[in-house]
Amino acid sequence: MPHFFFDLHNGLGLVSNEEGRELPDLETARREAIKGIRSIISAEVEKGELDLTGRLVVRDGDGAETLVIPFHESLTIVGRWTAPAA
Amino acid sequence: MRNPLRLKLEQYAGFEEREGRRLDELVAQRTQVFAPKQDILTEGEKVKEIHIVLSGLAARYKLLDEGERQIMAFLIPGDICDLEVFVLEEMDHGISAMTETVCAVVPAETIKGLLTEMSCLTQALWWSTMTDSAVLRERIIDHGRRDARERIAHLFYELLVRYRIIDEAKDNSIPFPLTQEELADSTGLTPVHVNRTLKQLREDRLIELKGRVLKVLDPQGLRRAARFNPNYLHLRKAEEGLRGEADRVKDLV
Repeated sequence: MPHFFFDLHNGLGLVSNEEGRELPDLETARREAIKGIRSIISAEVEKGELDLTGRLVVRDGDGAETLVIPFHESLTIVGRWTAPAA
Repeated sequence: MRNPLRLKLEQYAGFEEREGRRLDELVAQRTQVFAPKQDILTEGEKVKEIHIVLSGLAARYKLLDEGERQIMAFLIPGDICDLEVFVLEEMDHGISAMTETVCAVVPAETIKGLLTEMSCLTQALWWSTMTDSAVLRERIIDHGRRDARERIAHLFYELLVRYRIIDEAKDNSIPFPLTQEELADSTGLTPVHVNRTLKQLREDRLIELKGRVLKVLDPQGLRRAARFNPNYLHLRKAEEGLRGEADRVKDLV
């Protein structure tokens, strides 16, 4: 199975992934990347913060970048409530 | 090799020399080696023998329909995989070797015989089973109330205490063959989140992870990060500061 590394780039800097994971294909790597982003965002939301400026970079076994997923692409963002004009 | 089952149970029970020897014989009769990722017991299997981990690391797990795995508990040397044998018909979960793992394989009848012969063993095994449920309760707290950092810190500190009990934590270093994916399966986090959390724990100089060894650099700091209360391990002797067996672990609890 091919090897993939998942590097996290966000407001706190870079968290590079040295261990990586074996996954069947790139599509699975993409799904896992999105799950990873959502888990990081969720934990931050629980602490009262939402920063969507980060990205997750998936590298292949040779270290070459194969996917770049911006945080905001892992979510459907609907907007926010505004009070109706009086 | 010293008998890890005896090292573990003597945290609770006092064994006479003769009883200790019986426990040593118990784990020395037949052993079986399991390769990494091999099942020691499979869900649905009918259990006729008891498996006691002597070396390596195993995990209780369940597989969900979509192939996702939840690891419920880690079994280190001295831990018993399947005391269920006395009461339940078949395994409701699997137990897998995380690295090469050696188990003592003991027929249920042999243990039954020993239980009538040594009443203190009955109590000690009961203590061990109760403590296992207490460890599981901590996993419930993990999922309900602890954030990623607390969960991982808690697991690491608990493993440190447990490896100290069996005298396998020299310089606060413990065997750590787990991948980040396996750590994710046991904490309910994603591997991406585990990777980030491990980086934070390393940067805070609480731990060091190198070559399948986890070294706890600052036990008290890790304990604070985990908000760890050791009461659920029921290490009565260590808590009371009794000399002897409890010395191995008393500075941690």
